[in-house]
Amino acid sequence: MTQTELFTLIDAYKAARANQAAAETAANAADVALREASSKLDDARASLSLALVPLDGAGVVYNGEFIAGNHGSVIMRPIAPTYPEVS
Amino acid sequence: MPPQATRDQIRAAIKRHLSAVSAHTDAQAALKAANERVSATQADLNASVRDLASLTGDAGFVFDGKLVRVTVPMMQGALSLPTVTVSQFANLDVLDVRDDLKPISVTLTDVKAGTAATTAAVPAPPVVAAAAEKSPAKATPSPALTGGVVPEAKGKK
Repeated sequence: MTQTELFTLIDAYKAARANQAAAETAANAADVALREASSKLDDARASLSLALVPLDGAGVVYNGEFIAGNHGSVIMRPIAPTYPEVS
Repeated sequence: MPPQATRDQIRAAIKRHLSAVSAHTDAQAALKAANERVSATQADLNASVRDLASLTGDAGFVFDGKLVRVTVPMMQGALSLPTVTVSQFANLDVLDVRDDLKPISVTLTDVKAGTAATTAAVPAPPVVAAAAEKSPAKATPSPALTGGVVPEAKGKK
């Protein structure tokens, strides 16, 4: 092995380490973003549940789909994530 | 039929919910991609370490006054232990490329303070000048590298 080859390996090693560190940093950031999104989703679900309270279980038809109302203390059934986009 | 005000509130709440669901889905996908990237880069790093281990062998090399050796434990029984420990030259930390990725022991010996057993086990490692780290072209060729050839590794630990 020549010295040049050794340097090449060292450079490759350092580059790999840097890439790996950057990837871990990005993954940590993505994890934080997901936690925030989860928190906002919880808030949105709670708000929707609260908005449905006046229906007292009657529910509404929205964009062709039925959404159950909130039965008092009973939390509404989850709305499918595939619910039609609101225009 | 609920009053218009109630319907408006419900409609707004549904919009917020849909938006939150979409954002959550996107965040999940981003995290999945990021984790896959971590795995890929770790694999690249492991491969790089293995390259160093296979090419420098037990002879190792001297860098910035430190003896750097990359060791690959032999297989034990029927179980392959793809563990690589490298004493990193620049940062002098340790890598372990086992699947669990936990750090393991350092294989690093200060040349000046090295034990007799250790130095005896290392047949004239090539010297890599510290300045060469930034620019290999500026490296000072070591006597051990005369002719551009480093002795082959005698085996793995």
